[in-house]
Amino acid sequence: MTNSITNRQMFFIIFLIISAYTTIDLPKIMAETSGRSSWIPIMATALIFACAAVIITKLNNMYQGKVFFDYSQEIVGKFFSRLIVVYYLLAFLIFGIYLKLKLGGLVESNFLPKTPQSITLIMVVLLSSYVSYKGITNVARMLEIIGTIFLVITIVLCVAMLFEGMSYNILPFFNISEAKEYMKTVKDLASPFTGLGVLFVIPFTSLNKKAPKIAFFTLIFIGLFYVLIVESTFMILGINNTIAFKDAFIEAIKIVELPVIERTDIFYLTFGLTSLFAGMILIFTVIVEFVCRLIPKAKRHAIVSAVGIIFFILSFLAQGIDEPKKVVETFAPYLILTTSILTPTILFTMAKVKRRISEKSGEGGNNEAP
Amino acid sequence: MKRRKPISIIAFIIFLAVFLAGCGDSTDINQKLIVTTISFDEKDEEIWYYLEIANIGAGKNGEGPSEKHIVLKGHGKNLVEARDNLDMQLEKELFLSGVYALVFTESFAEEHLPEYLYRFRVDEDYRKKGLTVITKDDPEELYESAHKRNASAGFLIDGIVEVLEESGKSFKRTTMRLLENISSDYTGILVPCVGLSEEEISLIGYSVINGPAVTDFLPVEESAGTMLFKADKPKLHFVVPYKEMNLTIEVLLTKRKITPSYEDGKINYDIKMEFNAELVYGDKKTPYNFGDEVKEEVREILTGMIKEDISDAIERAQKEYKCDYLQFDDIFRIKYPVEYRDMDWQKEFINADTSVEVKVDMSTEWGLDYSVDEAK
Repeated sequence: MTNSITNRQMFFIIFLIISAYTTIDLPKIMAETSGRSSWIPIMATALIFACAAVIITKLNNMYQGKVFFDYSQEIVGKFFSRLIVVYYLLAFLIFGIYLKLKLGGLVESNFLPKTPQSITLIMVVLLSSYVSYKGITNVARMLEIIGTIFLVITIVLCVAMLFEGMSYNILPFFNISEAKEYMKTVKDLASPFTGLGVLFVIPFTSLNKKAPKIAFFTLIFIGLFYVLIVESTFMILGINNTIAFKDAFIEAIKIVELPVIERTDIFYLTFGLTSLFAGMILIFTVIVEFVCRLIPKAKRHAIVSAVGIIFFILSFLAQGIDEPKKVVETFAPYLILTTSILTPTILFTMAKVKRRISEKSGEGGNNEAP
Repeated sequence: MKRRKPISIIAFIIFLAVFLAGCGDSTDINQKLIVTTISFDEKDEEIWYYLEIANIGAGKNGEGPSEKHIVLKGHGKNLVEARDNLDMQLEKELFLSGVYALVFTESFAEEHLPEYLYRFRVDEDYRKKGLTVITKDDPEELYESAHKRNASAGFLIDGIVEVLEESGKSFKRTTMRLLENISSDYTGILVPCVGLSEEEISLIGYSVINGPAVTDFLPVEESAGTMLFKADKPKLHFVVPYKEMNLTIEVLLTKRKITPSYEDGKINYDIKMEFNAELVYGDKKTPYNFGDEVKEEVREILTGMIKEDISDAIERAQKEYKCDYLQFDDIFRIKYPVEYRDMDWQKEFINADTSVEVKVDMSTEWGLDYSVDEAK
């Protein structure tokens, strides 16, 4: 089983895992925090995470053919490497449970109001287990199709919303009195950029030489995609309505008039849900890949089954917590900042320093693939 | 041939079984009451809640009522009581995704407009593209008039407003847009008002909503100037008196630019509108000799008439209704967001100055040529 991916597949992996979290409630978050100037903090955060993506991809390229678990041992030693991987494992488990709760809520409120969430949970776990068993390369191939459809449908709907909405709802684009809120918003925007650590389970090959550049522009593209979603929702609903709705993007889509399609929301949700499932599968795959590296002797199907059972139990328990989303949201920004920015930056710096030292001392510890 | 593992087959069957959960949630559309119009009235200190339901089984097998639409009504001291009273009559669940229009009587809107709109917002089942209108008449009379034509009152009202909007004579706003205005710091809106004219449902004017309640009424006959601000592509007809003739001229707005300025605490709006106009017909026998010279004279008269209409519309909003339904607040907020934040717009709007500039182009000829004196 080869684990390599093309740069195009990497684009869709990053796009789907990141956009899975907050596409639907992002307009509400932005209306509450930054109002009509939301595009500024969104693009600023996209730029920060774009730099983080460059660091991660550069790190992967320094150790081509290896994944994070392998090369982190060379950088920080076996003990710390395991410690970091366990941290990532737990973080992705939390991201996964959070996403599952969101997915379950969306399915329940829009499609299956009488079906208990535990049933959708079983479905998600079964589906994710089956797909993640196949490995990241197969997942990436599937994401190319899902990602393209999701992207096209969402952009078409947003453009229709821009035409049908009112421009005064998004003007002025810059309001100096809102500027002091921008820094606070960047912290709130960490959640919509969750999951960049997925790149750590993908071994890069010579196919991925341009990966840093592509990863950078992918994140900028995601920023622009978010701006499109937020602005089009504001144009249709207005700021006050956007604040009132938890699923503001869906509510805005309900008002769009398209030829032939009366229930535009159901039309979108059919594809929006596919992207949420794709995000869920990706997170599950990341967890499986991390466990496979931690317990190399265990068989993959045993790991997939064990992860599936643990994930089911934890998600089931999380359903019983009051406001589980709020619990996660309080510490999620710190998890995201450490997994996506802080740890990669420290490791990258250490790897660079180590390489410089080894080059100077002439020991020739060249890890780069030919 | 490669044999599939039993575990894969079992997993596949369980996976398929999960999809059957959807069957448990499904409801046949025939098992629901499809609501097409919702109306509210307030009389004798009680709220009256009217539902117009599409009778999809009308005339089938000779069972049930033969009318295409049924009206159910409930009443109570508040919205919850009225709805509960109505629920006691329902033999099936309501389906609210087919609601085309919400109709409020003036007496209901004066007290309960924001409350009901917030109730509407919270209910996910409502059709959010629906229209909201005000009426001065009894909702039951509106239903009766529509049902005589075998039509739903909601469909009729939605159709009337839509056709008027497309022809450039009026404007259409969704209930969600009304909600946004109601939720803003400053609320000044015009809502189409329907009523019975010769026993038929028609648009009779616009209700002025100032703050949370309906405060005034703008008759449709006096709304031409206001429509130049409110309609997306206004297209109006002016009857221009010229010498002994009355010339009917079609006027199409081509450019609308409103620029605010704020100096020494004084707000001023520079309003520039450009129109294309063409003589459609006159009330006397041809020839009209509508050459360049006559055209210029008529253009000047028409320009004056349009300018007067615009100025009247602004003055009426500022002095008579004291309500900024012309949306000057948004125009000002966009240019001066910081200053706007600290303003009491209700006070500022009525004191704002305006300067109006109108340009009319009569050079184009879309239809008939009235310039030729006589046949040779």
